[in-house]
Amino acid sequence: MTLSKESQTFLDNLRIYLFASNKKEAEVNELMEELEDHLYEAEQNGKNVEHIIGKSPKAYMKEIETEVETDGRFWLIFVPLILLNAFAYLIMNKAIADERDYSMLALIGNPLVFIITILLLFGMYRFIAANKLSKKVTAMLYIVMGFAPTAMFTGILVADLFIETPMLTISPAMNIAVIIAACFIFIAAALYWKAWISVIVPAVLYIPQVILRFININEESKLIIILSIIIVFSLSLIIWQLRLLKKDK
Amino acid sequence: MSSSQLLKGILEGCLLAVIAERETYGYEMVEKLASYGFTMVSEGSIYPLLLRMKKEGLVTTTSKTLPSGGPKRKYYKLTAEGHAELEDFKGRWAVISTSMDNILKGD
Repeated sequence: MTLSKESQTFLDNLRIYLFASNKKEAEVNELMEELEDHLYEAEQNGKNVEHIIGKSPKAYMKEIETEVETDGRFWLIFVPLILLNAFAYLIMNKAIADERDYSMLALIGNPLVFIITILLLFGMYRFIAANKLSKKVTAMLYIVMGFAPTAMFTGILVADLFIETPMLTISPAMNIAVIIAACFIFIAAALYWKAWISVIVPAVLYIPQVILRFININEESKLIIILSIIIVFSLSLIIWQLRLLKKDK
Repeated sequence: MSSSQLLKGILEGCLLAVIAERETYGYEMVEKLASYGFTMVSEGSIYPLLLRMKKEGLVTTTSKTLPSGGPKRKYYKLTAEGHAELEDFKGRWAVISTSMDNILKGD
């Protein structure tokens, strides 16, 4: 059973649109299956996709959007978990090096940038899915969206150097508590997503750093060891993923 | 006002009537409507509506695998509430259609 390219493109775009609108996955899947079945039968009878969704895919997507239920878990569980996870990475770096000063700017700015990025990203996906854009415009949007978060995070780093905001200094005991909390977050994320990668990546990043602190070699060799571990790990991850892709095909 | 805009307001009534005849699925409903003379500008409009009708408890659905294979097909059936809603609609429609006839005839 094959659909025409137009129909398939429409279905793909609709799925992206509904995904970026945080709609309940089960409901989306049910509806998509029904539409696919309908499109297939309609095409067999010589109708085209316009017959089914009307002249404006955007209008039809909006029609569906209002009827499919929103998945409340997204902002209640998903985003906080990703946010905590990202935060755990940031904090681990400092905590392991025993840096215990946190500026208010970074504490508030980083999560804020993160949430803005999610909103922008979803907005972009909805926009691209609902409008027929040229390849040039689409590529431009992707490029801008690729740089925007980096620019914003760098902006915070730079601003932190020039703008003085109140500092939060935590005690050494608190620092250990932070490390333990971060470990729990990594484990919770791994359990929630049922993916060990959420534990393996921080383990590869941080365990060598901790071990090396107790070994008496100069800073340069430490850096080289850590970097080579990260590079070897990243490369094997890429190769592993490529193999999986090949298997799928 | 185009006929498709007119149809939009009464589409739920149409679907209730079609499903009341027998258990059916989306594409078949559209064909049934067409056989009665209702041609739709966008056939897909029935799905958001069916979704709402299901949430309102007017219809229930069952997924059946086709003997020819392929994806499952979703069949709709009216609930008791759906039948009641259809009767309600018939009553409202009778009033509207007589009134409309009278206006157009200039009574």
